[in-house]
Amino acid sequence: MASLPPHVEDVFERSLVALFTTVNSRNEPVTHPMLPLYERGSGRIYFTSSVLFSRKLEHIKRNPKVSVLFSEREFTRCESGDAVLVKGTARVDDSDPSNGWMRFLPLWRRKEPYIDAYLKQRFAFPLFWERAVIEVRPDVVYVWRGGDLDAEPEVYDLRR
Amino acid sequence: MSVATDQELYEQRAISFVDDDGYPVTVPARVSVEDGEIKVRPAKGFDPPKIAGRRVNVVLNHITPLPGGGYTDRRYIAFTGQAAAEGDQLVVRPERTYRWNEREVPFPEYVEVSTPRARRYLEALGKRLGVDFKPAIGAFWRFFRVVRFPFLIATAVPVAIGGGVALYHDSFDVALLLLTFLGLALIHMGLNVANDYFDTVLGADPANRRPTPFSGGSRSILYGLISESGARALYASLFGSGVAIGLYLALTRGLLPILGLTALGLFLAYFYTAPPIKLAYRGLGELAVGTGFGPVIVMGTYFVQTQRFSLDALVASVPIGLLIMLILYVNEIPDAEFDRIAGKRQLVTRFSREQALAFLAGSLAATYSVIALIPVLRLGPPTVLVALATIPLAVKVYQGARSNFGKQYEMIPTMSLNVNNAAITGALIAAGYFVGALLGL
Repeated sequence: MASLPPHVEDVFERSLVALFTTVNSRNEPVTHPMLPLYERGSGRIYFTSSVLFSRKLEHIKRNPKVSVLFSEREFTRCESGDAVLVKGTARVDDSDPSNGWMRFLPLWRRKEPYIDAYLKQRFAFPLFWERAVIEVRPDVVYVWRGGDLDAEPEVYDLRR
Repeated sequence: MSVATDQELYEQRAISFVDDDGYPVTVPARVSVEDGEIKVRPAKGFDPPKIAGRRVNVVLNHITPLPGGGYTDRRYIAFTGQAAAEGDQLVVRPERTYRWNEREVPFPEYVEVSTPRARRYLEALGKRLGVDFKPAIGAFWRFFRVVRFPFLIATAVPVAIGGGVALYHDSFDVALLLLTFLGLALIHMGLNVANDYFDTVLGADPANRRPTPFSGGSRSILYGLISESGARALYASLFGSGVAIGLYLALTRGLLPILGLTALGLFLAYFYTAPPIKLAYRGLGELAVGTGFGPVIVMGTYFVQTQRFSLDALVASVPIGLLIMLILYVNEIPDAEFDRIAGKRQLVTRFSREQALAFLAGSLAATYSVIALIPVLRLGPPTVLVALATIPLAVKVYQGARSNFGKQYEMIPTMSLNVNNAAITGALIAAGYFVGALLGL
């Protein structure tokens, strides 16, 4: 599988929010902002989703094709300003909603340093902390360098 | 449908559709809302003719990044509809929207309205995996939350007052006082669990979208921390244990008076929300709580110590009864909107805003008037007057309730202050009796 260039990994690694899109049973796109988690070199983008907001999990189980959009310099926190679209294949791991997602806490903490304070009050919002892990394998990546929407995107087909 | 929205509030803009290869695609885009239509210019590579004719989502998103990391002020809105090409752009006439703006729907409310979905998901997952999923919080915190442990302060303070009056009358036994507290605390926890159970099955708690740490119940059954049958078993065992201690005290300290007070306390605790009486649903909950946590506990504690009743103890029970009734009453203010829906006609739901505030002011005034009268009528030592020191707190409670009436989350500091006022004032009354006794006043 082809690998991603470092400037794209920068975006994955640093972004505070991404628009995550699934396909519902009517074959319509459904998009929600989510906190993306990425470890350089891993080749996978992760999200954790509370069971409170579980509709997207049901969509993925029915149709694993998803997309993830990283855009806006302020949100990607990258000087390059690149906008990145990922077409990918997702997998839901909800076998241990109480603890399974906790392996991503170090990555989560890097983006939301206050998360531990919330986690200490787990008893206040117990269902919020029951979470599934969504793993996205990027299949095709489009990059608009500098966030220039009038330029043709660079395309990386990682399935080859 | 109206698509009026303040576009400037959202920096991240995109259009989603399902591509020919079956993948959903979310393309960064220039988006403007004009005359009920959404105009979209997607990024190069996904030109309008490719998208026209498809079902699309136009998404506007905002967060405010924080300097130290993380973000706040989350809001997004998504418009769903059919896209049509119009020159070099797309036009979308939205058919429906979904959105969240945490300034409009605070995170706790967002969580609350999503709770039934979470329960359904965990239930289905549990069936699939053959596991009974419960939210993972430790046994201590689960019990702490289910029985609403911090509320036991409402039992501890009147017990201390009863003990203080007894000491003032030269009769005091620490072991009996602790046993009395234990029995009453068990019945109080039983009350809390029974209240949660009946408010859940009768619909008052599920109807409440904006619970706070002080109102809307513990949510333990709604969150799956305990089952309905588990709650029934728990309140029955708590009541049973409390009654067992009451029986022991009745047999050793005075059969009929203690049995009578235990029976009255149990009646008020259980039928506070339990059918068919449902005192709280008939505007009698405040009277029940004021009576139970005032005269019943203070007089009961006093009787266990002295084996007699006294007017002094009865008068000493009035301010704390009023203050604990006011904990309930002030906590009802944010619940009122939802209690009306569920047919729970507690006192606040029966009043207009001004009547409700007048009742609060009158009850606070009565509380401090009775405290001031205790030494004047020679029913207690002058040291109880130290409890008048909390009058400024009471004024702040009133001002907070007036300013935030009907605003659930804004009421939280006032509810907290009100609990503190009851606890501190009650503790000072008790201290007044203890110190008065020790000084021989």
